[in-house]
Amino acid sequence: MKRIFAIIISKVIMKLARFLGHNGTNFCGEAAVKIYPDLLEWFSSQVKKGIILVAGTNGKTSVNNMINAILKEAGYSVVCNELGANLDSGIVSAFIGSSDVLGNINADFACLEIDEAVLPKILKFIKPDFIIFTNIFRDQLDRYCEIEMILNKIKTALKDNSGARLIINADDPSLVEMGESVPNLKYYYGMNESMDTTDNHVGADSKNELIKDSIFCRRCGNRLQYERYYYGQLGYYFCRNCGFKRPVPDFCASIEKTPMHLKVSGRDFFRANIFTGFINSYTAYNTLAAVSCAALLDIPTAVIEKGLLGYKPQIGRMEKFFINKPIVFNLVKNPVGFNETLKAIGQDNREKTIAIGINDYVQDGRDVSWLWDTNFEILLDFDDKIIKYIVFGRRRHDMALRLKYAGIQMNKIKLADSPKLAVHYMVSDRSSVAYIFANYSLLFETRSILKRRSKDVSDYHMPSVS
Amino acid sequence: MFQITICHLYPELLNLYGDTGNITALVKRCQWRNIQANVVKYNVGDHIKFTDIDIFFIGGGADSEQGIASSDMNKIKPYLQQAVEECKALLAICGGYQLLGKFYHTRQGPIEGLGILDLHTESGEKRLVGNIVVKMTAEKPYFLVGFENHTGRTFLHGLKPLGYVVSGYGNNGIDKTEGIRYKNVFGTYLHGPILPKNPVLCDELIRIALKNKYGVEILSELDDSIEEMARRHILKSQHILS
Repeated sequence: MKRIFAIIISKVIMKLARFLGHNGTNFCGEAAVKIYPDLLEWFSSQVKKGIILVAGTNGKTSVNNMINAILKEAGYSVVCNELGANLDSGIVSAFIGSSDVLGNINADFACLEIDEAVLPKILKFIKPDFIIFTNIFRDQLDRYCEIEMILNKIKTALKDNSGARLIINADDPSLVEMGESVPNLKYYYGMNESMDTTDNHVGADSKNELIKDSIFCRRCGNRLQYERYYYGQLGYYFCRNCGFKRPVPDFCASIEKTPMHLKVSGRDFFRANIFTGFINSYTAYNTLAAVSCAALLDIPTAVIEKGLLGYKPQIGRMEKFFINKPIVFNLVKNPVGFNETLKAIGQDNREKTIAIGINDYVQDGRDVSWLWDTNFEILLDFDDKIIKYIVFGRRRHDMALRLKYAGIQMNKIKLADSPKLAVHYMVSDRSSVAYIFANYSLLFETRSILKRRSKDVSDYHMPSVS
Repeated sequence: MFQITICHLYPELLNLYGDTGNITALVKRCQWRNIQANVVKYNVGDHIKFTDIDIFFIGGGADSEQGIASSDMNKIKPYLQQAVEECKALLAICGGYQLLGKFYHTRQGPIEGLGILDLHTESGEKRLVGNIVVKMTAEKPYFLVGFENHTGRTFLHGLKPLGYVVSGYGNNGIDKTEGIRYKNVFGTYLHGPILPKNPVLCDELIRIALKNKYGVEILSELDDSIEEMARRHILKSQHILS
């Protein structure tokens, strides 16, 4: 009875929130769990064929939605938290959204992206078949403390979930060490060749010495050597002292240039060619993770390829608008993602305006020190092509300060009191393209302003970098 | 042209929470005044000439990395001790600050510190996280603003704190003290990073360096209006300014 009550209440909240124009995905889940705490267990036990969790710092939403697209192409019914509400409440909401009032769901699969800090808690209620780990970078440190602590908590939680098979990014030494210390069955994926696509910055990251979270071997503490280095701590690594090294992946990929596509090969003679438009280091990893999972679920290659052809990136991931000029909108949330985004816009030779919105609510991280771990000095390489820097959000002054100390002239920095004003400034100067970046709590408001003012452009997306 | 040398201790290991921004702030505020600032990085096993250094900086890191740093630090202890006694400027944040003390009592047992400062740290239950405002007890009263994030509780054995907590937790969440000031050593829990948002403290470090090296005490004024605005956000959010 309590269960039905919980579901009805949260369904009503969800409808109300949508009616009022909010995306209340976390909120209604919160209400439901308060009334009936075992809701997650109840829902997940009804999933017929399999539960897939996606965890990691960057790429969760993309990987999760790619798997969703593939499974739907294969004709399965899927429960998925598509919009990226990835705290426990968001996951409950995803189930409630597809259940009837009695709490019955009809789902072959559940694919759920989970915040890495919430994963240990979720594993008490959900017994997944697969867990995909994308990467572990520094992110919202006030909430999560250090990476080491998160990894230890995940290790502990996995010990009671030895049935879950892990799909791990072989190029990330932190994840691999975590995987090696738990008894679960593991599959690895990794990039095959040097990922220098059109972006010649992606390869050796010589300029950015700022963030290499785990260049030290997590087994023995010695410095890791890199035979090949991509970004963050990703690459071909080995430890001279204890022999820890990148495992040979079960699935690997290379970026082919003409025409651009991702060539994936893997165990059991698996071969696939994925066409998703532009591919950079980020999309390559995300696609490879999703394809590896689909292959392990025995989805036919043709279905995987077709499913990804129909995949559309989520909102705020290099999304395009047009207001007087082309506008590209992207979510930024941590240094590694922001650095890659900055490098990507450096490839655009047009005169541009850059707007950056930073808030400090709980979902963003209360601590904005990550702006100082982000390498804004990258901007100096093409500062002559940047007409103006507009900063907005609650911590716009901190953002302006960071740009000042990166060496940007103060007379090029403009403070905007609201996202609306930021958009106004951005579209009314003489640049020929504008890039607008915002962190999580500014995402929806900023996007709705852009959407309202934007002339209809085809649903074209650039690949996500965050 | 004046020239100073800043030493960043263990940048590869102790580099959490944007603390590298402190080096950026020191360098930029020198450059803007036409003072040449050189940065020397000291990593595990390196050899540098410690007597050439005018300002030392050490940040915080994750536990395992702090462990690696602390065992190397014992090797360079004589140089650091000499620098401290010669009134060289040293800024130590969070983990780096704890390492300068006598010991850190963790739940696994005590870890020996460098013992340069007469203080000790114990690990607590609750993590002390959030915006913090500290009233600096130096000559001119000044509000230091920052963000703290630590489980360690530091207790000073009669040494002078850097300031008193106006909002937040500080050294231990009990006695209202925050950080330490001993000769020209500044230890603190404030991230943010601390120097860009507290230009008075940043300039104090530069002033000490110039005084030690050239006997000059006057620094030219800079336009700190954006620094002030960033400070005001924190002071307002902590209800210190309306």
